[in-house]
Amino acid sequence: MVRHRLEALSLESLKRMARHHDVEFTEATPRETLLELVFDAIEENRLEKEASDTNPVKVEEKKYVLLEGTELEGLYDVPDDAALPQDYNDTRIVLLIRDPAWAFAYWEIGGSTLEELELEEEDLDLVLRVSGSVEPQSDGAQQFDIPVQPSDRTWYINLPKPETYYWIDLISRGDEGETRLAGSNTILVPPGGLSDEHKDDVSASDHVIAYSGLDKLHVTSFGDAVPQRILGLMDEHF
Amino acid sequence: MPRGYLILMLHAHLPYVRHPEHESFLEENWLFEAISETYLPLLRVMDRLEADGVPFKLTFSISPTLSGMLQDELLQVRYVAHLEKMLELAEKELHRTKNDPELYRLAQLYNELYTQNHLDFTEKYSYNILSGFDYYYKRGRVELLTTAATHPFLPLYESYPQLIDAEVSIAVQSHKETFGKYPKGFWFPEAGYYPGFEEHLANNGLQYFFAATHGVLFAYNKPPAGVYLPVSCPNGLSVFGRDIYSTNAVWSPEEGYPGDHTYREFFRDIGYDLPIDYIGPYIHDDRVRIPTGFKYHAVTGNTDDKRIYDPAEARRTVQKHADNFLYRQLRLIDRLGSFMDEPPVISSPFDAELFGHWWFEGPDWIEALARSIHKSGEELVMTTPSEYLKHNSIEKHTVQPAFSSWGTNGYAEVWLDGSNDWVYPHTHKAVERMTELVRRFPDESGLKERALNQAAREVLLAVQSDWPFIMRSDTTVSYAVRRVKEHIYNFTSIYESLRRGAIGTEWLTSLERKNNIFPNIDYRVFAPSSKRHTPHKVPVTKK
Repeated sequence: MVRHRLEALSLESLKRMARHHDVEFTEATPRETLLELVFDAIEENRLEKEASDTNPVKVEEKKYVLLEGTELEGLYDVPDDAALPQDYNDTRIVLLIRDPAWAFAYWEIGGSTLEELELEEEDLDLVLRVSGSVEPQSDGAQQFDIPVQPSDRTWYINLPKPETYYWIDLISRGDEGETRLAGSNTILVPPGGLSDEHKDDVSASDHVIAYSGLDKLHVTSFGDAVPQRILGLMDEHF
Repeated sequence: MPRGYLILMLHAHLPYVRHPEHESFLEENWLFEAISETYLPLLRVMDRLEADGVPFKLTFSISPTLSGMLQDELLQVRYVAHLEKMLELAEKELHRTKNDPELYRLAQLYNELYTQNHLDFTEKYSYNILSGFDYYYKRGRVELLTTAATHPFLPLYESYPQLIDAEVSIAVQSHKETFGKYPKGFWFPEAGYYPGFEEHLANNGLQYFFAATHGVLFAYNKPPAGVYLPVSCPNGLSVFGRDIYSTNAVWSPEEGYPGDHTYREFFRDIGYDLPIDYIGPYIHDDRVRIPTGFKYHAVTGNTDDKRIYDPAEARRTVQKHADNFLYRQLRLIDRLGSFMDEPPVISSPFDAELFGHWWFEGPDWIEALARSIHKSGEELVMTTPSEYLKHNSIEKHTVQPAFSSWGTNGYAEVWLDGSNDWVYPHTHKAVERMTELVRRFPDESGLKERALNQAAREVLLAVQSDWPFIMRSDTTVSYAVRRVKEHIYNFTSIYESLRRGAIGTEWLTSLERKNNIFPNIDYRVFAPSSKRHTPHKVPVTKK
């Protein structure tokens, strides 16, 4: 069905689809080749999503199926009849927890901050200083820096430890030292695994947990999410 | 005493889609399809069970956005127009298929379905099907939960307690206005929970919630009974962990029932298959092919050469699958029984729209399951969370659940990835600005109050989880993008107008008519929180 609809598209529409799906092509790429490349990209995307998405997500997608070949979504531009503000002229940084391994940060530097620094935006030397600790905002936090370009506004950050509080400072570096431009909220990384209080003995509780579908969870985890003792019970039970 | 309990929980939700500025609007079909294929068929299942004296127990959460649409006069009238169009198509289909007995039988099936839907909607429920759910709610057959007012993915708003408070308190109030009593339970949109949220629930009189399997299993301390008994949060709220085996049995594409080759195929539809000059009046703008709901093929297998659907054969499969589900739960209960002192509780939450809309035979499966459980005696008892908590005074273990969801890979990546992360700087800023407005205008009345109330509605409509979900799933993306932009734009316009002290009455009135959710909203619900929010894992006293 998708191939059939692709065949009906103009060359210009095919090129738009190719750009939407990050397909590499040149002006000399023949139409048939372009069509195959776009088709392959759509199929690859579909199969990848099918393989990774959880059942609730797959089912929820069905609620929004309205058009034939929704894979061709990239064909249409979004009319910009309600423009979003480019920025809010504010200096801030916000941190969002995504899963036990990743967080997302976004930030903005307002005009008054740049005036105070007496710098143009493109001259900034910025780092994200990531702090992590077992207590929120404590002094003894471990830190690492991520250099970012002045044009960057967002960053996905790999988190090294579970059950840890993280926060970020947006730092400007200059000849006279560092200036903290903004500090983020604090996030708490989940354990990402089974809390294992009894290291040796097999308890009735271990048996119950072994029946709880740990092998079906398919969740992002930290290290050995399930103790070997319980994995052994799962093998025994099923 | 029964050997175990089953809590079947159906989460009914759709984003708020209502476009009075257009004569008809494609995305309003999401609601119409769900009413026709899920909500009305489920109500008829409950009617039949009650008529036959089957003591079923079901739990539903009905999102405030959905209940708002179901009570909206414009959408009610449009649904009837939609049904009349479907009945007209059914009539044409009866004529078109009259020489093909197999297809004719299916055209009859759809004619009967839409005729019954029309009768139930207009006469039995007088255009408001919530009265059907309310009937069983009041009789104790059904427990109704609430969820966040506009269904945001809550962990991504953890740092904005004023939004969280607004989402919970508006949801609870809306439930009271709709059903005449306060809800006891809460469903997290997309099962997206973060530690400490239970404080907001307790502040609003809620007593329990459901959590993702690993939200309980991967808690900060190990739950001794896994997900097979409710646990208690440090603040005393009860938590029911999702059982993954029973839910996978129903909606796994690999091992789940809906993929059976005898069931009706979801994707084949005469809206795609028939000539445009015939089907034109029943699709979008006479030329854009959309599903009509008339589907004549069975799943068959992984092939484009689909067999014609046979409802009698599908009914036999439904019974087989209901019996299989019961057998699997009893076997699990048997196994768990050796290691537990209390009868296990199997909590099975689903998207309600799975039943009927995607899995056409789903409502019949629920009916068959309730009948099979009833026939089997007292071994497995259907219950609701409140009923279970009332009649079972077990000592619940105190556990601090962990951040979790039922999305891909178990956390936030569906609602936070490269396709949709641009949304949050704008929605977060809108929440901050809304709180700023409450601080600046704490006691307004007249036109200013109306503007502030509308600003609150626009913020709430912008944060719906459906928009980032749709952006990631690459279906109707342009609509989701437009909705976020529109609500941020509307909010920002009101914010700037209030700063300038100049509000356009005509413009505000048109906006109030269009985005009319929560007519009794009070903008002060966004009052600033007294303290800065810090995520926390509450220390747990071990038992």
